[in-house]
Amino acid sequence: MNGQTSHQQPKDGRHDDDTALTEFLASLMDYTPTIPDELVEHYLAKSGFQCPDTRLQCKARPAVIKDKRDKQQKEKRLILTMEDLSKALREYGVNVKHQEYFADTPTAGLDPASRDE
Amino acid sequence: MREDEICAATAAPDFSFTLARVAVAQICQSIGYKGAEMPALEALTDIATRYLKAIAKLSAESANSSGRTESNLFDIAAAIEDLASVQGFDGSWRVRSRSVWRSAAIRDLMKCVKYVDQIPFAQPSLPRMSCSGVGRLLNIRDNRLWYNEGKLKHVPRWLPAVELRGEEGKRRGEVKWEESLEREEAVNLGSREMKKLKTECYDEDVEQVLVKRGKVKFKIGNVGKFKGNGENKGGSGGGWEEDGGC
Repeated sequence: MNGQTSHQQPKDGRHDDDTALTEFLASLMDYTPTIPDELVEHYLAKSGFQCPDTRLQCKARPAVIKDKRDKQQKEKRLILTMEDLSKALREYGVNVKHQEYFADTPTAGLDPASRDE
Repeated sequence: MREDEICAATAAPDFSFTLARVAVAQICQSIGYKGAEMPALEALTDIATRYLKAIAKLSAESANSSGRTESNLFDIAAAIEDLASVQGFDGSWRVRSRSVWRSAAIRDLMKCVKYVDQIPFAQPSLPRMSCSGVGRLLNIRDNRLWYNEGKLKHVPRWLPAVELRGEEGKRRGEVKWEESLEREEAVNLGSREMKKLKTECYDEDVEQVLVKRGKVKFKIGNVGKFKGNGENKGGSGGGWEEDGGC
C-alpha cells in the first residue's frame, strides 16, 4: 500500500498470515449475514465506497453485526428498552437522550395551587 | 400518535432504513430479546446504518489519500480499526501494520464470522438499486469506453469516448491494481509483489517523452515589448506565447 517494505518480518510468518486471510475471505463468500447484500451496497454507494470486489462488501457487513451484538450483550433483558440502550451506548461514546414521559400540557403534574385557572 | 410522529422525525423514514430495521430486529431476536421498544429499535438501526456509512467513508478516504479510487482490503481493515479504537482493542498500538491479521479488531471479526450462526434476512429478495452500478460491465465498443451507461452514468454524454490502453498494457504484461486484487494471490501482496508491480508499471514510453521533450519558453504580458527576451517578466495582459520546440 505504501512504500514501506519491512524486510525484518520473516517471509514464513507473512505467508501464514496471508493464507489465513485468504481462507477468511473465502469463508466470507459463504457467510450470509442478516443484513442483505443490496442494502449494504446501497449504504456503501451512498458514502462513496467504490470497489469491484464483492468480498470486501461482505466484510463490512459482519462488522456491523458484531457491533450490534456487542452493544446488546451489556443488558440482557426480554425487551429492549431505551434506558438499557442508552446506558450501553454511553460506553461506546454515543449519547442517546430520550424523554422519559410526555405530558399533555405544560402545567400537567404540577400542584393545583400553582396552576393558573 | 404524537409520540410516533416525534420519533419518526428524528430517524430517516425511508425504504432502506425500514429494511435495516428488520435486519436489526432479527439480530436482537437472535441474542435473546423477545421484543423491543420502537424508539430503541430505531435508535439501534440508526447506529447500524451510520456505522456502515462510516466504514465506507473512512475506507474510501483512506483509498483516496493513497491515490486510488477503489478501496481494497487494507482500507477496510484500517477503517474498522479506526472505528474500534473508541473503546480500544488489543494491539491498537500496531495499527496499519503490514499484516491485517495482527490487530484484534480484525481477529474478533473473523471469530464472529466463524462461530456465530448465520441468520438470513427475513424478507424475500430485494430490488437491486439501479444507481449503485457496482458489478456492471463497462460499455466497451471498438476499443473505446463509452459513457452514460451502467457504471459511468454520472459522466456527461457529450464527452468523447476514451481509448482504452488495456489491450496494449496486457501485451506488455502490465497488470492493473484492481485486476490483480481480484485474483486469489492478490492477498499475498508482500514486498516481493510490490517490487514486481513497480517494475511492471515502469513505462518505457514515459522515459522517451522525458528525454525527447525540448525547452518551452513562455512570455507573459506585452509580447512586443519583451520580444527577443526568452524570460517571462510578467506584466499586464493575459497573453502568452509558446516558444518551444523539440
